[in-house]
Amino acid sequence: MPLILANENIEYKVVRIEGGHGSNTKFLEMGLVPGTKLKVIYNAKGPIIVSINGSKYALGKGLASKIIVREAV
Amino acid sequence: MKSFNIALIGNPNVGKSAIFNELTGASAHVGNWPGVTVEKKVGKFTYLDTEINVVDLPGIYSLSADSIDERIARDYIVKQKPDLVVCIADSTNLVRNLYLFVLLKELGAKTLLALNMIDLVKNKLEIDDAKLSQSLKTRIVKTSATKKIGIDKLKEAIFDELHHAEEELFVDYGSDIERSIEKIKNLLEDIDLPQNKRFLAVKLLEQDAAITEELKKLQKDNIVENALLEINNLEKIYPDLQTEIIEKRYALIEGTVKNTTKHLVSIEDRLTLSDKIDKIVTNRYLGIPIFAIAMLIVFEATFKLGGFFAGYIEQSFGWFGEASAQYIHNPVLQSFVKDGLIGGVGTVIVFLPNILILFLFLSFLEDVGYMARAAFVMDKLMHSIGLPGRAFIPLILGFGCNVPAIMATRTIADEKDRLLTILINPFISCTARLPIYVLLTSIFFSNKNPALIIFSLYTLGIIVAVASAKLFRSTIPKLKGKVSFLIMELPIYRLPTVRALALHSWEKTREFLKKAGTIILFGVILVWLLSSLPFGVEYASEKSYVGVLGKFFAPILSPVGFGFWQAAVALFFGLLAKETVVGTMGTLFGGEDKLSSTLPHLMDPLSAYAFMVMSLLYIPCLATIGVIYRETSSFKWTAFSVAYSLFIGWVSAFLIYQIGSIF
Repeated sequence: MPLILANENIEYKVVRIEGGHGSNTKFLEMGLVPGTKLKVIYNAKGPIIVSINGSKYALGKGLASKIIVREAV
Repeated sequence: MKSFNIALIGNPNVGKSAIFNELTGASAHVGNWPGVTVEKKVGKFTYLDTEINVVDLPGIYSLSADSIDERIARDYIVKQKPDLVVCIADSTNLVRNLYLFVLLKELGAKTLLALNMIDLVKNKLEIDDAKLSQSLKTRIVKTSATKKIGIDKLKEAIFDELHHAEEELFVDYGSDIERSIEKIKNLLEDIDLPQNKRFLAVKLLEQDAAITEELKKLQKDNIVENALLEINNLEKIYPDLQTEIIEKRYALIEGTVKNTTKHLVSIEDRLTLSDKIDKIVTNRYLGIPIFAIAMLIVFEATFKLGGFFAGYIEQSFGWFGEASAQYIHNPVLQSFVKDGLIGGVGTVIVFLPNILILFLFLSFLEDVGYMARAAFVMDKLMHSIGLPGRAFIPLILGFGCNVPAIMATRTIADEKDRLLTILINPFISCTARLPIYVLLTSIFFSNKNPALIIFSLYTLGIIVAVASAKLFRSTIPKLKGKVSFLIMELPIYRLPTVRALALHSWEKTREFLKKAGTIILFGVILVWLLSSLPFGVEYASEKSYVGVLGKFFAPILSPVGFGFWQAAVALFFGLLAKETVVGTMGTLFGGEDKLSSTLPHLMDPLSAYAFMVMSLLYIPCLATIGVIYRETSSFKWTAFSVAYSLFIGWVSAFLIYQIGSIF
């Protein structure tokens, strides 16, 4: 499911990243590659905050909808 | 003395500026990269008998050519060929930070790795630097710029590395991709480009726009076409080749980090304090109120505290002007020194406390890590008017003074968003316009709710700013496009050092003095000249050039309700600083106390309101024009801002006066 539907305080794994070259590369270069585990810290109105490897990022909803995740087990 | 050039590079928020300051101390100075408004800092230090010049490259995540910052960094490394590139990494997030390092290695730059913020991983992460150094083929220094750890070691390592050859780091992309790299490399054999051939080949497979363009310029389209063929073949195996290439780099980095580090605490325990603060400041209900309070404090401090000092500065310049006049007997010279020179310099210096205090607070919020959260909190609201979250701070500051507000747009990374925020800022009603409103409402609206009248002007300013933002976004080609997507790191909170704060705010203040200052001074002297010439006329009287100018422009102002020459002259002087409008009116009518009896003969409440609207919107003051030029480095955009605001000011006043006259 896309990251915008993710629940707060749950850990997810990145399955794949959709969308154009520009945004895609940006994610990948910031360490958001398929297989990465991330935790959703905030997901309500406005941008989503995720924690990856202990660093936090704010992502606009548009970008977040391109990240496909599933719950990590 | 021998001299070498080195460059500092690293992700944003890794403490790169702090390292730069520690290395170069007072020798640093700030300029711009040629052709763009990205800040360029250079400095130097000496080690033994060697002078080492340091350039601080922009904070970036990678070396693709997507953003200006990345292009600047890449071009600098490739074309200026620094003798050493010091890559500064955040020890708390090695994987992401080492990505840039690996790219530098691939680019063929001679590198040195500094693991900064090492104090933050103490007792949390064990880094085997010998092993890491071996795996990454680089020398490693552990530093903490804020705690002053490892700075001497870093200097020593820089010096040593300048005398060593570079060791190559090989990223294995797997046999299929490697075969294509080899083929493209062969084609590149006798191409005259400064980059490493393997780097060029990999970048061609990643469809890097800048390199494709360079090859086309050399008329080597055949190589680009061959690369596309290889990409097509490879995409049969890897549907998403770009992702595959980036993942291969990450595979190397993740493996290396896993083998050379040991976590001493669990991930959950690592960033608890920052998380707890974030829970509050980014809370969906508390976020905006907290930001509002923070801004209110900055605002109050800047304009109350700054105003307090500004008052004294104004007084002392006034006194100084009077005093100097006593010693100069030639009336022309006396007027030049008193009204032109001292008055002019005073106009510049009066802004100084405001700017210094403002930048002190902003640097504090930025260095602590709060600014990124503020942008996050405001993002949604700002998006609805076509601007990114970061544009909110400059707009709010505009209510105090547009000059520091426009300078504060520097925190907006996207060039389009920044230009847009600069262009609409002058419509936010600054405190200098308040005296005009107060004077006219007290004369014309004293029994008709003056507070509401003033409030309506502030609101009109906001409406014009928002409408202009939308208009520019949809009509001007250079500003078209979507609001830049929000993707940013929320750095760990940390307390900045006093020294870093002082340095950051002083750097910006000094720049204001140097660049905007000269433009303001020039303008002041010009107005003085126009008011005093031809020789022998009374200063700024009907017969001076300003008076003539006023008479010339008065007919243009008559459709907007105030077609008398004094109004035109007052508006003309308002260019210096908007508060001057009131003072000029006073002088022209023989004292401010006479205004309440004379003005009602020339204006009615409607034309007085139109005059206030004009004062709000027409041409920004000289200081603002100076700073717009300084920040955009573009005569064209500065002229556009002046012309557009003049047009909007006139049209708005016209509509209000003409429509109001019907009723």
